[in-house]
Amino acid sequence: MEQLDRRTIMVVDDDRDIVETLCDILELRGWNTLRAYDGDEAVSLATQPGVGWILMDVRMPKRSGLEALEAIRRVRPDVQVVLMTALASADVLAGTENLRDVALLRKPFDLASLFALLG
Amino acid sequence: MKITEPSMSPGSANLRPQVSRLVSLRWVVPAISTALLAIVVTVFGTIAYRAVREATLQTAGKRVRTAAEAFSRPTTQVPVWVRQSRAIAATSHIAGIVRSNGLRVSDSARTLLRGMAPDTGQTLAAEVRSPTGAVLFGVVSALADSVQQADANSRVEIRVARGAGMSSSGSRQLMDSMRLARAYRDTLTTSELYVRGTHVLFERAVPILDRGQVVGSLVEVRTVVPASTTALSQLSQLIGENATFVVGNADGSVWTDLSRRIQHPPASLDAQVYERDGRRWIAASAPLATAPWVVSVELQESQVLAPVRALRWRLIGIGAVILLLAIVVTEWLGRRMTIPLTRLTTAAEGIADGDRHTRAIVFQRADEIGRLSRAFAAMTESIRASHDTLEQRIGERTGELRVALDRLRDAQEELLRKERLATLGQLSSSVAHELRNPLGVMTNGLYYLDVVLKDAPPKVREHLARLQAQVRLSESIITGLLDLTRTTVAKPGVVSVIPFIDDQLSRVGLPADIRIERDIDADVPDLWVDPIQIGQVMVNLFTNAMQAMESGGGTLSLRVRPHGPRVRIEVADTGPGIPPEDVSRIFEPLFTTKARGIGLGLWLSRTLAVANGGTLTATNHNGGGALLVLEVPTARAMVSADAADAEAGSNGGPAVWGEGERSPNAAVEAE
Repeated sequence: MEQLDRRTIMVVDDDRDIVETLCDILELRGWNTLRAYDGDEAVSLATQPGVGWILMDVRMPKRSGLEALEAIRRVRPDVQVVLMTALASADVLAGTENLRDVALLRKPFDLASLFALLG
Repeated sequence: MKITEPSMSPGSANLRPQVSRLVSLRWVVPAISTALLAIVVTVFGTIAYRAVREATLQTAGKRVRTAAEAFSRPTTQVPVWVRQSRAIAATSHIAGIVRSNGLRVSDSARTLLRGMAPDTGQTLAAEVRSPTGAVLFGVVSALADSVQQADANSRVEIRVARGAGMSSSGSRQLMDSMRLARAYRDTLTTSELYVRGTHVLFERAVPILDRGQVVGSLVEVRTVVPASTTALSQLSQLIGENATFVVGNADGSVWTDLSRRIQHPPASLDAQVYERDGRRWIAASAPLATAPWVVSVELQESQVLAPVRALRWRLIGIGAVILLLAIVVTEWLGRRMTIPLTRLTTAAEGIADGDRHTRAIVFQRADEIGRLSRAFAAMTESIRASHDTLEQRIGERTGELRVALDRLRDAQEELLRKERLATLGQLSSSVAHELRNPLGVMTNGLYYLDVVLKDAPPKVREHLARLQAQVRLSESIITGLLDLTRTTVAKPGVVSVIPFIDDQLSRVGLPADIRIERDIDADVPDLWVDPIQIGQVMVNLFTNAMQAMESGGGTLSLRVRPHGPRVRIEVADTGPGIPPEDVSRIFEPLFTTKARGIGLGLWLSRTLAVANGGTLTATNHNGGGALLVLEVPTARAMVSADAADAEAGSNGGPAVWGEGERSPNAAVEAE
């Protein structure tokens, strides 16, 4: 049985610059990173071994973060998920049944709060 | 080629009806009344004149008729001449002439006959005639001589044998021509008038008796002229003065006025008027009883009518005086009527033209004009009163309208401002959204560089730090913008004052040249507010104070006191203060005094304060700087309010600040 590498994180955002900078920073802090640029890609990458964390934007083309999350949960119910969203959307999403075990990060966020979430 | 349009004069519509020419009653009334009076005076004067004239003429006619009738009455008295002639005819001397057939004439007979025909009488001749009318003997008088001379033009040849007793062929011839060749009956007879030359003659005869038998006639040939003055005066006594006596034959063949022959209409017992000698005469005729004559008594019409004419002139004079009086009186009456009317009219026109200072005229008169003037004065007063009332009402309405207009303008401005704000909100929201990701990327990139370039030269580190600060500032601006579009529904909770304020102060990061003066009550109660929203308000207040003191530093005074059911938080700075003209506008959205800034900070702060059940006000304090006062409810007040709600039997649900402000749109926020 493959072992979950707790230090592997997949960053999903349709904004490639966000993905690149975040991944570089996280790698600096000792994370393995996977980069995905839409929901579909995220779903297909999620099955790869060792992905313990997913940092994903909610608003994306093709498949939104929430839809992708639903699909990922079916194959990887144990993965830790942090959803990045705009302030207002975060208010609405907070308290939604499906997202009980999901962390919400309001955009724009400072890196300190992200690091705190990731532990 | 130039075409000139015919000049069109616009039809000037004059509202006041034009009277072509004013005809004053002052002249109309006198004119009409004088004309009427003139007609009346003329008619009545004419009627009176005619009646008097008629009556006078009738009286005159009666007079002449009476006089004429008086002549016609038979008289029982035997005239003198009849007695004398009978006496002579009865003498034997006269009879002798007849017996001798005129051949023997005694001296006595001559004397008697000459006595009948004196030279000074009217008798031209005295003759003795046979029953056949032949003249047996006659005596002529000197009168016959003068008649012959007067009738020089006539063919009658008269030779007078004055004083001769014998009848000569000449005198016979004379008398043949002078007498009426006639035989007279046994009765006393007067002949008809007849004309010889210019003379009117007649004959009268008495019978000559011889032993009771009529053997001839003693005839006098007489002229009607000249009538003796005594006779005329006697006549005038009889028929009255001014009357004339005219005699004519019954058949109308000869008429004489006793001096000469005249033309005369046929005799009539009724009075008639005819013209003779250029004069008009009133005449009545009657037959004489003692002669075959008609006597006409005549009056000259002009003399009869003289008093009537005088009356006519008097009537005209009286009429003229009456008319003159009428003109004067009616003109005075007209003036009495029209002058006040003119003055009233002038006053009315003044009022009609809007001259409000026109004074009403009151005439103290008992007549209709006095009444009119009083009514007019009352009307003027009423008009003035209603005018005043109207003006006052218009003033009031104008004031109300102005107020309403002001309100409307304010509302319009408010609406515009809100619309502007909504547009701005949408715009800033989308801008902020779009900037969010690039800023995120920049933040991340800077962080990466910061970690990687730990040992870079100080200059590089310095630039990195500056970039980080600027990106953070940009982020905070964007966050602020996003706050604007977020719902203002407060989610209050219990907030402890002192750590809460410390938190916000640390967020601002005051520079070193600004001193903080804290005056916070130790036992200030906890707040019942949305910490994020009120925290934002506090940060805004601190940031404003800091920016006010940017040049040269100063003191930020912070004073916190319980204030009834609220806590009062005062933030004062030592900056230049709020310009007085801006105090009322400082909370308006988009109002700013700063070179940088979009003027939403204080507006948003107040909105948030209100959404949390508090207030926010701004003034200048005595030290010259701005003083902003935030009042927010305490948790204690909320608890007691909840308890009060529960006691009042309300549903008891948790009270949420700003619950009432939640709009349907606020729940669903665009991402």
